[in-house]
Amino acid sequence: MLRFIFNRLLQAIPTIWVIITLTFFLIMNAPGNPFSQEREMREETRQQLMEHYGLDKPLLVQYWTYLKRLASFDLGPSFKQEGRSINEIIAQGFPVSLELGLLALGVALLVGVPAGVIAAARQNTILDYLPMSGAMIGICMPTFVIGPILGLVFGVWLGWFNVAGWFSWEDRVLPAFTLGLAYAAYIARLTRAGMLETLGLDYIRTARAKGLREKTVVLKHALRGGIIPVISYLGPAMAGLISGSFVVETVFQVPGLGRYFIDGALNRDYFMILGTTIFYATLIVGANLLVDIAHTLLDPKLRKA
Amino acid sequence: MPRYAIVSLLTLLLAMASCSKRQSATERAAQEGVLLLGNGEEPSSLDPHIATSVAEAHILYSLFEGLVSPDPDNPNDIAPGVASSWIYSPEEKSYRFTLRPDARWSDGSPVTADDFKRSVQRALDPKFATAYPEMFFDIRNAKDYYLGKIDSFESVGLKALSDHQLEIALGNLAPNFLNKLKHFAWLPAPIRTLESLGDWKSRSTRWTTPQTMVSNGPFILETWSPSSVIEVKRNASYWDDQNVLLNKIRFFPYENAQLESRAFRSKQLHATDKIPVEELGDPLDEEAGQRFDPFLATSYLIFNTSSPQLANLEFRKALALAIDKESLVANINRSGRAASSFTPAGLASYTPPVSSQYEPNEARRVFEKTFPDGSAAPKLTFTVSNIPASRAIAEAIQSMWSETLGLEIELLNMEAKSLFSSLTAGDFEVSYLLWSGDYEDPVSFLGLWSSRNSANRARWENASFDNLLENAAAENDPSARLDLLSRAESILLEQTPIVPLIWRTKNFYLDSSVTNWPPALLDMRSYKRVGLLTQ
Repeated sequence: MLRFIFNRLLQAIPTIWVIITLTFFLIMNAPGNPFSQEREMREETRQQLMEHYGLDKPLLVQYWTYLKRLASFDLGPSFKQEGRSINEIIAQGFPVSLELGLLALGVALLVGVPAGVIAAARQNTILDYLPMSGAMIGICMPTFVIGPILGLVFGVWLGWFNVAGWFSWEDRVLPAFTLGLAYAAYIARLTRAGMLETLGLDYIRTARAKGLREKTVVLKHALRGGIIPVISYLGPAMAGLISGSFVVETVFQVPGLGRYFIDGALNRDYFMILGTTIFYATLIVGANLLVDIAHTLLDPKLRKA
Repeated sequence: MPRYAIVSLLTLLLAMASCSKRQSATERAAQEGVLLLGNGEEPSSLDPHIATSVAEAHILYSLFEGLVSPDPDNPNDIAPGVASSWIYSPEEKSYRFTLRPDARWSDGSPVTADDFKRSVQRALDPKFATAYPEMFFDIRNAKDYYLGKIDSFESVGLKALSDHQLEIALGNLAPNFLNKLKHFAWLPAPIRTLESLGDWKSRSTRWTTPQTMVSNGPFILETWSPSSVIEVKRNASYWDDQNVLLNKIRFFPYENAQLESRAFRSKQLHATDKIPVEELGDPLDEEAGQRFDPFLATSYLIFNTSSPQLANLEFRKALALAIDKESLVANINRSGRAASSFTPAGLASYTPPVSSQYEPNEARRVFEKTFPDGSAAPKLTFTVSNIPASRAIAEAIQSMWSETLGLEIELLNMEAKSLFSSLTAGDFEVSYLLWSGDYEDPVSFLGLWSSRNSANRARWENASFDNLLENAAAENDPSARLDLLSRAESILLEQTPIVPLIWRTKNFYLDSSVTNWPPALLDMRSYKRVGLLTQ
């Protein structure tokens, strides 16, 4: 087992190296540079800045310097957030994105699973059509539409929540719902499909034949089988939630990492793009590794491979 | 649905309804003397010698005080700052500033003439890469020092005669020098604090965190949480602290205009930085407290005069005459005024010349004269930023040119950084840009088009224009100088390397509880007298 983990770790290193190298050369060759702006900078100033950040050196030298930096876990400075290091920005932004992602996942499960169960248990009634139409709308409506609408209704008109910021627990509600609802919709559909399949199986008929109450049949016997598709969906959902919260972070001014990821690219903040990409890549490679280990533990057949 | 589900749903709804309207954030803040401001974007730096953006400047003027400052009652005027008075000697072309003996840094140490001298030395250091070196170039030998032509800062015309006497010798007449002195580039850095933290002349020395920052203005930095809020609180060491009305200011970096507007309507902000364009001119929104202040900024069209087609003056003129600026203002920008010159109206005593306006028939006549054979008319590429507001202007101009002149225009949308580097490289034909002035003087606008300015993206060269600018710089008499500048601007408008389109206004929402928020041409103000009414 240890050997398996060791082997997989060894395989992860080249993967990440390829990502670093590709990202590095792609952004360095992208049109524009960190210092091009509407107000043209003096040529001397630009030269001074390039020197200050070591961007005046040949590309291969810069690449080598960057790799050496990475070896000591230093992701470099940000050009746009002068004086802050990428390590610092990730350390501040990621916990916020993670919290938002987890809360949104909570919302998605709490709304999605019950809706799916009810829809399946009352198939082809109003209790099926209503949540499923809602889910369809939820899937179709992007967060940049839902977010402002929630902000307008619950912030501006009703005055229950702040429309911007990330200071108190109340500020978590609107962003978490906005981000969670789209996933809730998908989870509801997955749950419904899984439940319908399970509800048609023999052991459910047996349970009913034994005279169990419908509630027990649905919640205790059918749900266990019906929820499996949802569980396998949680992995990708979580990855999407923590890395894809850029829009919600912008709509509600949440100081998470997603914004830095996008703004880094728009600002040609080279080390920011590289740093956040490497961070997310490592995260995903790490998560895949954990999943593989879990599979191996569960399935002895895989261990020999 | 089971009964208990309905019951619990109703309970939940009731519970939510019961936590109805709370006391709003702005009301609570007003009682505590805290001003809540939308501030456009997250600052890159709070070091006055590194800062470049207006958002940063807003915060810097609360934290620091220069030799002179924007007058709190009329920010377009100059008021004494750390310098209580100054004398100008025309023969020696030098200023002598007397600094207030009671001016203090927030650590209690006095603000001295040496602090100002070394701040300039730091900014002009050839390794430092300051954003606004030209704000110092009026000082004798400053430019040579910046360019590395002289090594010793002692030959630069800046002398600390004593702790409280600073002499600035100028290299030329510089009648607009005090206006430049008001610019944030001239705010002092706490040199002794910098020395204790590392190399005082390096831009990497970190001193702008709440723990380390020492400043000399009405407020000091209390919190900086990136992408969230910057909070400044009143500075007890400030010499005029008894006249400061606010206890705190919170600057929120809301980049998204719609988000900012929602925050204002839900009473989370006392003032915004902008107004979303769709809310302009809507009577309901106007009632909410919209303000349109005069602002020193012009949107303009720029021609690459080195491209083969646009080198033709008559063609540029025809293009300019075919643009209905009034329509751009009324239908697309929905604020501001149609521009008749590059320097906006509103500068004291400078009357800019008036450019030719929308004349479709004349445009056609000039165009047909230039291209008698209609088929020879060139195809132009209009490169424009992909932000919706700029794209809308470009599309409108595209249709004006095609209707009036029958020209075929290709629109090329580019993401900002790519656009600006194409402009710098001269890889464009027509583009749409915004210029905002750095100080209240026509030179802050006209200087851009001097052939010696590397930022002259039109690549336009005109010897008489350059001469008039130089003569103006050497002119002693203020009104004769402005006259020379006005003649220079006439040439600029006549030669049409650019077409001024819209004189912008500073559009923002302001809560009625905010007092003494006068219009500021540069959108930079002193917060000393800003107050809040409580109900």
